[in-house]
Amino acid sequence: MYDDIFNLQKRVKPGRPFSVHTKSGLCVLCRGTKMLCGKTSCPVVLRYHQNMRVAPLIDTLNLEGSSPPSVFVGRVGYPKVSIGPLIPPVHGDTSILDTPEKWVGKSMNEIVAMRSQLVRGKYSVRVDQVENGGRLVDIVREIAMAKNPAEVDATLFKKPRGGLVLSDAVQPHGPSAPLKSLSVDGLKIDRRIDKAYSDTDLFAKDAVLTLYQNDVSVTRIQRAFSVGSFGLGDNRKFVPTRWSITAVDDTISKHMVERVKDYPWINEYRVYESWSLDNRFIVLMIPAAWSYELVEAWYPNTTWNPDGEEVAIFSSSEGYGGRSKYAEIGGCYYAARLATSEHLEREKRQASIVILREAHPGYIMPVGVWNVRENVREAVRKAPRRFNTMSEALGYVQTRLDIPLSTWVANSWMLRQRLFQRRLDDFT
Amino acid sequence: MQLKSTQIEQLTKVFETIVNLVDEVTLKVEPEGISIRAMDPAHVALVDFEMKKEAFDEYKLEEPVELTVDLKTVVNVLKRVEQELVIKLKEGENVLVILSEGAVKKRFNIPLIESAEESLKIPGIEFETVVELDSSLFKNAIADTSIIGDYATVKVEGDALFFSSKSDENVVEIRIDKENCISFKKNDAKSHFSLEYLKDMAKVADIKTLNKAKLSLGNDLPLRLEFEGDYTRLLFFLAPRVEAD
Repeated sequence: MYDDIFNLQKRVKPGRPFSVHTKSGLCVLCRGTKMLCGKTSCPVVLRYHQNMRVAPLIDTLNLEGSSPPSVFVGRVGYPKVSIGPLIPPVHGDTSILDTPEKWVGKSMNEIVAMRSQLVRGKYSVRVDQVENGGRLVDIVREIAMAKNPAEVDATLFKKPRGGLVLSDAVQPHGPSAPLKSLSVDGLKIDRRIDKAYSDTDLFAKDAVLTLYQNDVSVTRIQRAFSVGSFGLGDNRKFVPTRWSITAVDDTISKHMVERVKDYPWINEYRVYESWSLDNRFIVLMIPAAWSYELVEAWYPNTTWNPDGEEVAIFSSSEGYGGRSKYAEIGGCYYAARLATSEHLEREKRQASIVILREAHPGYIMPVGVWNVRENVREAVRKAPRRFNTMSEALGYVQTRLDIPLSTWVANSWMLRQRLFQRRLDDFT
Repeated sequence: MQLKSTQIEQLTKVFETIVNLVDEVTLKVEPEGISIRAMDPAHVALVDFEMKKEAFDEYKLEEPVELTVDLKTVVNVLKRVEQELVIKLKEGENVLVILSEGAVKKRFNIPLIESAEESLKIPGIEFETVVELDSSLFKNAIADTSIIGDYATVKVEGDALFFSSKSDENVVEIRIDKENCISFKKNDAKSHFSLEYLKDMAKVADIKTLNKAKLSLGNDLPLRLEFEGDYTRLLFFLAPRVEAD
């Protein structure tokens, strides 16, 4: 076995990126016809079509529709932020529009089509004006705590403007407009969330964990979290949507990890996988004490490597003791930690986890960290491939990914640790 | 059971070193003294600590006990103890009592936890190469090498002990000649070790009573690193890396 490792080691050239050849973006020459940029569909055209389709429906100062329910809390200007509901110009059961838990398998076009019709109403408040912000603020909170689509009638100061708004962390949404007034009808509050909201002696952390244990979806917890529904009475604040997503992922997964550490190790090496939106996710579980790493490889012309000519690889990791600094690669780290630790907790097993992600050129725009959370959940829901040795597991991983194993090893703390660090058990 | 000591700093620092490796430990209190043996969750490092009863000002023990505790809490408590430390067990309850005697009297109750650890064996390796040196020399060598890389190559070649590391084009080599060591049982040996672990272990050098470090080496074998004082012994085993040059 060690011969293999040494051979592998020789091929590893740390710091040298793996290169693929694609042309840089030349939108003016291409105009959506020739795919010169190397992406598999044109993001400019995709956004244009969506805007054209939605535009006539929202060219109004009085927007009515069924909010999925959904709210957005901005981060610009913190501690004074814009809060408000996301409202599509349609009526009926719109819940799918803000339920990322059900989006795995949807195409980029479908996701853009769903999200671009959501108009963001904006109302400016101080983050601590959770309770005394007036009627409009109260309605926004009720929408965030609802369990069903709510009929929302919004009067706007201006017509909605702007196109599809993208972010690495948050799912995209459509144009936005300043809110004048808001009314809501047919809204039912989730009782479990209402209970946590009413308890002003309950820490936010405990509220999140209790709700999660009572099967409230992560998205719903996060939505209520963002409008300051939890925590000690005086401490409640609005939390920008992107921060609240990571706060909830982090809180739940930290708790799961502590439980997982008490369980016996898995008995074999496992490889799980999920393919979606031209992203490939490989989850490798190693029979060892808890530790975790997410390694992401971005191909040129993907979201976070727009101008590169080479694949860019980033990673964040933690050992048994966890980490104290925010993960370098951002919110997706915590989203995937939630997906894997909840799986181990369900199985009552412990493992070391390495997630390898290849973001291929078809991943033309960011859709939010749900993509990572739900794809890793999807991966571990399915039966894994099982192996007796690390070499066999890695051999299989290589058949599922395009980037050479040596490059993954050079960029992965955990793979290097497993391959090159011996254990005392080997000597007794 | 009642143990008393005024040398609080030493015990605190020893525990601080161990807490870098493991969260929970089982402290054995036996007629000859106290001891801890623990392995880190990754099974890369093992620590074996002994403190003889002579190191205590008072050592009263009715029967041997095993106390499993959250070591971080114990370390934090020890840091707040002044002048004289008293360790007791609360009658009939699984609670460790730590008292600080002095002008101000402090009392800390720490619940014992259920022990999950099975007994650990010390690797039975015969080492041909053993070098004893001032622990500050060892600590400095580790500090120097960790500026450059993530792992260190430790070797004995001819009449000198070498510590080296590299990353990209950066290279560091520390050479300590035989004359500067306390004892030198030579036989060429070379192994690679994670500096993350070595750095934590080297902190022991700050404990005044443990000023000698004894390194036992082999070729791609674990490192046996022993610090010994009058009544105290701290022993580490660290598994090697198989990193190629």
